[in-house]
Amino acid sequence: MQSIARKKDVVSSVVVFAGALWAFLEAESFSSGAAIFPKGVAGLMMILSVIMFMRAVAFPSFLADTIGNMDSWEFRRMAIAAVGTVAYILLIIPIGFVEASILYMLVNCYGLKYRNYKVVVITSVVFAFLVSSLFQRYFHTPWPEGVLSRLY
Amino acid sequence: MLHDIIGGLVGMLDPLTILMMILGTLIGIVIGALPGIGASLGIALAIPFTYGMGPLPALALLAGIHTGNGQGAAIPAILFKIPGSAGSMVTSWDGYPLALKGKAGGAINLSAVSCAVGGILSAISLMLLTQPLVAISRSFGPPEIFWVNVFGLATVAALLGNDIIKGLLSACLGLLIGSVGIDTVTGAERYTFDSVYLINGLPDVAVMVGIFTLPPAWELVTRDRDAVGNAALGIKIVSERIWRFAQVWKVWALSSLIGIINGILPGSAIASFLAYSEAKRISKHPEEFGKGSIEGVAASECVGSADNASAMIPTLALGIPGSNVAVLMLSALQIHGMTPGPQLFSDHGTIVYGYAWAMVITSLLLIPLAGAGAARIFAYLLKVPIILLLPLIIVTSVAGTFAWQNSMSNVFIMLASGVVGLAMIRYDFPIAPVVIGLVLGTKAEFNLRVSLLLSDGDWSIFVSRPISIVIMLMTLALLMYPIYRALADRRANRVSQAQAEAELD
Repeated sequence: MQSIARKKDVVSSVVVFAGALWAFLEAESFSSGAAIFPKGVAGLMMILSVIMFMRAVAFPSFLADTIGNMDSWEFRRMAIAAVGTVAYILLIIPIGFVEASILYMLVNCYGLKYRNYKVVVITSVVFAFLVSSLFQRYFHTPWPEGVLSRLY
Repeated sequence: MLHDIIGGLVGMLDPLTILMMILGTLIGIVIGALPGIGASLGIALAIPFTYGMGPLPALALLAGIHTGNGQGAAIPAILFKIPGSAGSMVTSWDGYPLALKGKAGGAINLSAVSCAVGGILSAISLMLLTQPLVAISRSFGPPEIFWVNVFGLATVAALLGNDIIKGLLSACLGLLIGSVGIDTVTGAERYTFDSVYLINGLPDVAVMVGIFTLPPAWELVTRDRDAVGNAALGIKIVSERIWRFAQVWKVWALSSLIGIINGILPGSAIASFLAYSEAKRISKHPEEFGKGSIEGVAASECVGSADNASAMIPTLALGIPGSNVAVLMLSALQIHGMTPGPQLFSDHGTIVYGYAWAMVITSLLLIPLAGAGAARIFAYLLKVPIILLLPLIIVTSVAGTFAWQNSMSNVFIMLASGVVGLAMIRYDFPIAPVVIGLVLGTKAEFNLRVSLLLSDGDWSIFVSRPISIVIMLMTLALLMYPIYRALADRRANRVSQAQAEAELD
């Protein structure tokens, strides 16, 4: 477990240092008053990331407990869930909120191997229409126009 | 103060507000009953929905979710030994044996009443203890407020994770995100990449919803294997009363006190265990603990809800949140135009006390809404496949974030925040400090710069005023404590290792 924590800390300290360095250099172009705070915060991040790196390399016994790596079953399922979410969000404007939501719920359940199709279809359709109409009625939300309403 | 307390109660008796409290409590119970979905996720999901409401109904809804969640988590803990939250794990130690003895309904009734007692006493502490803290903070100038903001950030960074360095880095990330957009003092653009969308900064709600809802939702699908098998058990729920007042009142009083103190002084995850062991210590039948003790269930449920409202005392008075939910409530207040501190009580006293009343009323609602009768219905929720929950959470998050400003860009920000949040969780970074950095960052920067203007750029203003020095020292002590603990643990490990080796020799 300690080797996993060590690897995680080394990777994250390098990433954080790089990000903080970029934020610090970017803040150089701000006017002096506007730069104080972001430069201070970015500087602090760089110092902390160096400490984190040194701790991981030189004093690994000080590392806190870590969550273990996912097994392939878990990783595959989480990847399906996350990629499905990205695809769903990208589809909202082209095909509409209700249509994208129904499609996402159906594909997601299929991808995650849930095979009770009757439940999935009913839940998807009812929930998508319920959320959409609730927001339209009470919050006057102008959802992106759907392909179905464009056709008919 | 009395005027505001009465005004708050009157405000809470509005039909819409009552409806929101009932709705919130029901949602909270449902969310709590589903393992893996905590109060933070529920409140983060609900915040965009409150934007079109007045502050009282909005806070009533959020208070209901917060209160209901604690009791909801007890239902699977008692029925199936599946704790809906970390705190309800202790409940399962005695609740489940009671269920096996055919007293599931009685145990659920007892947990609902215990939750209600803890919640009510905690809300009363919120009403009574906040004002004295506010009175102290009235003497604060910009340097002191700056240090209070830093203390708030340090509290969350140090206590809501298990690594102080990572907690501080998370808070710094929030501060940097908060500095995106036009600088309100000089008008300079910061980290906007010449994008019109970023001129007003990153939307708090989108970041908060993304970071608090997407990662736990994505992680839900990895738990599916465990949940299905256990939930298949069939336990009868018969509504009955299995406790006497004389049997539990001392446990309720003690657990409430522990819970209230735990809420005010955050960071202790051991409150449930402490209350449980204290209840065992004062019990006439300590041998029943772990085998179906009435006092055991009463203690763990009472302490779990007793820190709900009390955690809001430092949050409302000083802007120092001590829990994930308090961080979200702080954000919700800001979204509704209220800034914690003395001004909050002079400008919105009715709303603050209205919130405390909402915690009282929603706690009372637990008895009819979350007792054994209702638990029969909620028990069915555990049969809902977790795979179905994921898209429901995602669609609701997307809808709420989009509807907040009718902007698809906010949804993309939410998605990006979710991805960052997931990476942070997988790499053991706490996520709450990001949100608190985002919320407190603007205030901290404002007070830093006003202080420097007052002192003509002399930084000694931050270390030359007595209250500033006190808060600064408290912050340093808070930051040093985890380091001291780590060193002490290491020393103790070495000693025990040496002893073990000596014994082997």
